Amino acid sequence: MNHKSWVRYRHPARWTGIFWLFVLMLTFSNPSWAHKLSIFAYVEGDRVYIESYFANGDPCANSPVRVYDRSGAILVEGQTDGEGMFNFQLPERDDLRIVVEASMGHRNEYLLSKQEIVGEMGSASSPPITSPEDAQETTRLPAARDIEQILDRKLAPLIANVHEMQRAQDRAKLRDIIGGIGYIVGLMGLVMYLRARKRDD
Amino acid sequence: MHISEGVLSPPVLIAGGVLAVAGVTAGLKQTETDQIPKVAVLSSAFFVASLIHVPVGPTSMHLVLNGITGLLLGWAAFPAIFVGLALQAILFQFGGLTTLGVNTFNMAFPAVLCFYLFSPLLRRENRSWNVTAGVASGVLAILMSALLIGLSLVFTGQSFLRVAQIAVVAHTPIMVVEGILTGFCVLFLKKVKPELLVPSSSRRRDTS
Repeated sequence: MNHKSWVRYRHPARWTGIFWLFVLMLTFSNPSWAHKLSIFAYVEGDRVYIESYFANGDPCANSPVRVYDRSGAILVEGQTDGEGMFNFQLPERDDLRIVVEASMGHRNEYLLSKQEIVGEMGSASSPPITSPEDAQETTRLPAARDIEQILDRKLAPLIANVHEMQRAQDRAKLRDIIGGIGYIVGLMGLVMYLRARKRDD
Repeated sequence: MHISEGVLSPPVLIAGGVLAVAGVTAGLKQTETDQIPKVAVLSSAFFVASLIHVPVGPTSMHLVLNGITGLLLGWAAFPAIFVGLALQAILFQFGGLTTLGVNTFNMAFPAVLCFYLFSPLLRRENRSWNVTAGVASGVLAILMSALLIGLSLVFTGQSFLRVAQIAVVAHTPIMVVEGILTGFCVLFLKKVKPELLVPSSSRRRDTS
């Protein structure tokens, strides 16, 4: 028995057909993710807004949403609308765990930290400057509420941009596909190497 | 097809893990060394298949390819699907690492069943039997996987009939697509490389 026989695979040509089938599949595949569920949540004023979507950008519509507090108790329960959106009154200023569940075991969660919430709440409810010595100044300065409105308006496109970037990042990258196949080839080599060594012993 | 993290209870995860390890071990034991490239190619195909979307009405489904994997590999479908799923979980966040065992079993076990049910038909020199074997594997592998997903989710407190119904209905389009695809695949392989259809576990190593 020739111990090296496994190396000389006699008909390498038999794989070329499959290889081309494979390339064909890659070419026609649209580079979108299957059903990875993404959630994005942010606080605006005293409401929390949730956007959920599948990896290919489709909204995760009409899916149950549950919001838990730090101890795991359910604070809010609801359902996303047709656009995968949901919003609710902020129940408390603490860490919130937001879970969206789609059918057939697709699920993800988003942790809205206390800092994010408090930061947002603080800016919304900070009283205008009222100390008497500053009264003169206050009349000339725009009120906190106005500043916030201006900021909201200016930042809206930026926030939209960030969301868009996050979505783009969630889409499949050719790099990952090639990397994955590389891992499989590497594993194959490893298994064959180990077996060859065992046979030589 | 992929169950995410945090949906299943620990007993289900552990049961899935044990079954998957048993299957992978059996698969590795039965695979001759010269068949390993074949396992790797089908593992790669399985890995990429989930990125191929078939538009179905308003949504889209992705291919699974566990039928053809099982038909060509037999028990070796377990390691092939395990590796594919592990990489999908790490690189694409499909499924998850804790659910790897359950997902492997849900997809690989139907593949092995298809192998026992239909691979004898592949050896017949009759094209319509060959195609029937391919189509049936493509359809049944998905159908059984959908039922297994239903079964896994029962323990989360959802009613089996309802979950299974949703899973089967949702996967019907992909059953049709995979049935046709697997049928064509078998036909193509029978014409071009018939020796590929001889399963890895029943083939002896060439010692030329």
